[in-house]
Amino acid sequence: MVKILQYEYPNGFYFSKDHMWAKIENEKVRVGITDFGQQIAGKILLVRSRRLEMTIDQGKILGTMETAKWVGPLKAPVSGVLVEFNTALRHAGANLVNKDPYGGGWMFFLTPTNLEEELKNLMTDPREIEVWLKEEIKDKQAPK
Amino acid sequence: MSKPKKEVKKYIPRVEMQWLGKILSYGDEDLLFKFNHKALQPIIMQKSVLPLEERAGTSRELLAAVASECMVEWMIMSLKRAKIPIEEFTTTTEANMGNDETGRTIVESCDTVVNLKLSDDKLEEAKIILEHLLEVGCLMSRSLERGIKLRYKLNWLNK
Repeated sequence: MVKILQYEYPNGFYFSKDHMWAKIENEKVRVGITDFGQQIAGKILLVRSRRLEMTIDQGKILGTMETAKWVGPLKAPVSGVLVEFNTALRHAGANLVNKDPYGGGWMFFLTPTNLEEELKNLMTDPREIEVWLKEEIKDKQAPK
Repeated sequence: MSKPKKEVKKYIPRVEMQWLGKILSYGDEDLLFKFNHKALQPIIMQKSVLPLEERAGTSRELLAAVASECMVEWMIMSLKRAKIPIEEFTTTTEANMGNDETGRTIVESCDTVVNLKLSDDKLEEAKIILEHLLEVGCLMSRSLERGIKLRYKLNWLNK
């Protein structure tokens, strides 16, 4: 497990700038939200998925998550067919995302359609993540 | 040595009302409401300048404001978080009246029409987010639909 600032970014995962992670498992891609993503979201109350079997492009919405103050998009780190949703995240189970964002709090499985090419848009290098994350934190803290 | 923790004062939603009937230039039905929230300016409800038949309905208007404000705030927050800029946003809420089983007047429902304009390239994303939001409701819509217990306690100020 790699800690960048105070957030966990484990090895073996790919990270998008939409605060999502992708993990390749037997030609499928498991998807979830990063530790930073879940921390800035606060308590997650519900995760919803779009219709299974839909083809979703990289950066487009796979589902939505509900917090106490807003509903936010969960964007696909890679393009693919949405094949599975972690139904444990409905209602009371959604706090699994806060408790274990890289484990039990996983959200979707995709069958990727352009994996090799699109992995290049994701981050794995801790130094790159750190530089980007510092900017993100600055942006989130800036008065609007 | 660790820094002493800054004490956070617990916020309590609270509205104070003052009857203005004895204050010069106000009348018997004029009221002042002060809110325990920095974003809310005091409201003076000046009914006494109106003919009798136009005085009713102020609480229904306030209820309609509550029904729209909470949902609107949630929508704005969600769109802002998703970095979806708003171009135009207006709402109209109407409180619909009816009668309860004893024949007394009640507010039966509130209908809010939301008029929203966003940039075209973010429309699909916004639709998915707002669909979720409307389905689960906001703090006020959930509370009102479930029914809120209202308790009143009368304090006599006579010595």
